[in-house]
Amino acid sequence: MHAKTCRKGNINRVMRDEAAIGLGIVKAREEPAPGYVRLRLAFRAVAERARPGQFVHVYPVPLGLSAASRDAPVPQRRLDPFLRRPFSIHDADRSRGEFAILFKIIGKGTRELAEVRVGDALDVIGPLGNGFSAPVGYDRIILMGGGIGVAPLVLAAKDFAGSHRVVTLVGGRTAHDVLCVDDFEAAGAQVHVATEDGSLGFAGQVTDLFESLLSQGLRGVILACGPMPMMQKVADISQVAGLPAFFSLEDRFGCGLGACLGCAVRVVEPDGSRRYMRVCKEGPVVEAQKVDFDGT
Amino acid sequence: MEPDTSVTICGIRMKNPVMAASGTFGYGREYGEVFDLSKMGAIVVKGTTLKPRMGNPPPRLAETPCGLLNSVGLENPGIDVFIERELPYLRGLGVPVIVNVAGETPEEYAEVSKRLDKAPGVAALEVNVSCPNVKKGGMAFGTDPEALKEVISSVRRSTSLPLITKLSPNVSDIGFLARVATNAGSDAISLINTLLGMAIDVNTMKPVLGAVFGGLSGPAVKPVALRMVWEVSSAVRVPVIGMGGITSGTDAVEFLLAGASAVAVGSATLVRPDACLEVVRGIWEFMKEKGVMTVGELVGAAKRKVDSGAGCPRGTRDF
Ligand SMILES: Cc1cc2nc3c(=O)[nH]c(=O)nc-3n(C[C@H](O)[C@H](O)[C@H](O)COP(=O)(O)OP(=O)(O)OC[C@H]3O[C@@H](n4cnc5c(N)ncnc54)[C@H](O)[C@@H]3O)c2cc1C
Ligand SMILES: Cc1cc2nc3c(=O)[nH]c(=O)nc-3n(C[C@H](O)[C@H](O)[C@H](O)COP(=O)(O)O)c2cc1C
Ligand code: FES
Repeated sequence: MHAKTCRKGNINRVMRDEAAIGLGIVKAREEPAPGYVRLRLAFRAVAERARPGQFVHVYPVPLGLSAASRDAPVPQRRLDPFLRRPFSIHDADRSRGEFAILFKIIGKGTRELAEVRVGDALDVIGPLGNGFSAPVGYDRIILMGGGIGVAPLVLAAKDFAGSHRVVTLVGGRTAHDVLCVDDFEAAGAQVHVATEDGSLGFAGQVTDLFESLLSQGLRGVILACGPMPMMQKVADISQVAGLPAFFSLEDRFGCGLGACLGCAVRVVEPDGSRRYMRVCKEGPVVEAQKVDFDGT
Repeated sequence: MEPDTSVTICGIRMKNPVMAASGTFGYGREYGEVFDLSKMGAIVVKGTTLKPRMGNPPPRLAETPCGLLNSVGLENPGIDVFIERELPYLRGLGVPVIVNVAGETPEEYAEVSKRLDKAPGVAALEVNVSCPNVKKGGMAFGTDPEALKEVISSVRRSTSLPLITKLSPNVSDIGFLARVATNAGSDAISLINTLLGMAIDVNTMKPVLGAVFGGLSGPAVKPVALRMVWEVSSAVRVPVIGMGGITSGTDAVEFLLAGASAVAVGSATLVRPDACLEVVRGIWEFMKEKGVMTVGELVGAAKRKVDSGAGCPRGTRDF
């Protein structure tokens, strides 16, 4: 259960068999668009276990090279920022033992994280959460991402490509906010783009594009990630269309492991009762009709 | 000779003086997947009430400089579910289990305590009279001396388990409230619970937390916690369990020197799942380096270095 993985001088450990805790070494850093950063990290135990829709919980300040090469069990850490930050697993190369995150710079933690350099060590726990799964009976997956919501969908496009036909709907405010189109195409997915200002592709919200494609006969399982108002629309539209939909939800996380109850989203149980669900443990992927949007 | 980190508090023998603080460790299961819990001093499980509680609306967390605000609101499945589903797991860990008890009325506290009194595997009760995140009960009991006396007395009558009263820092004279609790039968005092606070998002112009107010914890509160541990350990003779912002062995040693007989680690665990073990290691290393053989030698040592000896260093009140 507490087996050490063999990284020389490293402290990476496997938890149960599902997740690992330790240091990920930054192998590549790029800015696919202004304000967005993609990091590729070497951490075999995470990469090998990663499923689309899962996340990693990352302390957003690099711990420095010395920490990675020493056998120091707990490298020195700053007190501010205090908490880890959750990021979806954006991509995984299991054979090379590497995975990627893609994030938008929005505040204190992501600003710090954007400063990392190749060779830095980041404190990572993962993969965590349930991940996407596709119900049987559908041969097509419809991936929908608004803005940074595309982050978890790239690995989904790759992993589902072997078993399903994948259609991807990518939305953004302007052409600058439309990310990862190349990645989806490289994964063999058919890609549709929507921008609110009409600067690229369909003019309107990604949910408008979705409705228009449905009216043209598009059917499949919907896996979506984006801001809450978009999710609510997707829930409504997919319910009317009678299609199953799953969301990857975002919330503020504390532990990321299910212990602190800090990440709550209200859900409706089959019997109609309502309760708060731990997004980090029981999610982040949740069935669309389960989310109680009045309670968010 | 190697330092001995073991301590005995209210008859509970612990391998070391480091406990997991209530509410940050769930019922232990999640962390049991990460590290060997049997190495901990004790586990204090999250606040448990008579009936299940849904908790507060999200967002429930907001990071603040060197800490965080939380407004979880005592979400828990209720005492019967705890005893049936969680206690058997905890019992098997080989670590003292302390149950954090909460309620809206003295009768509710007493009833929860009575049910735990009969449940095997509970080492002690921590009476939470300091939760800032519930409308009724909670902190109200920890800030009003009469109400505090009533709650602790009724819990005392309903169980023979050791009682630890967890005090709120949101008061002006914490030493006095500690005396009220011990006079009513509390065997130990733990502190601090979180400091009431809030955060506002200037972009939305709204409070960040769904419940508007929340409790502040983490390194930001450490100086306040340390001062209160000093005051309380000077005001009462029972053991004091200190917490608030501990992230390292050195932090923990500060609390011991201020008069705590044991410590608890909360927020740090959210960042580093095995923070408790890191703190234990830090204490051990400190003891080894300074040639300290028992934890008891550290407890209150800083106070003995202050002339007045009365718990209030000369001049501190004369700002
Ligand atoms: C499961 C999961 C997966 C995620 N995956 C990704 C990802 O792949 N890429 C990515 O860019 N982001 C992702 N996020 C969101 C990411 O965790 C936050 O953007 C990040 O924590 C912000 O940190 P910060 O310190 O920069 O911002 P802060 O300084 O903490 O906040 C900056 C501003 O954003 C607001 N804010 C912060 N976090 C949230 C939130 N979760 N929801 C709403 N408002 C918020 C704050 O109120 C504040 O106004 C994910 C979140 C979750 C829960
Ligand atoms: C998310 C969270 C939940 C908490 N829940 C409880 C609780 O249920 N009962 C309780 O007595 N204290 C609770 N606390 C307070 C802690 O036990 C502790 O007293 C406080 O956080 C100070 O310690 P720290 O700075 O090490 O976190 C909670 C704290 C946090 C951060
Ligand atoms: S973040 Fe702690 S329970 Fe989800």
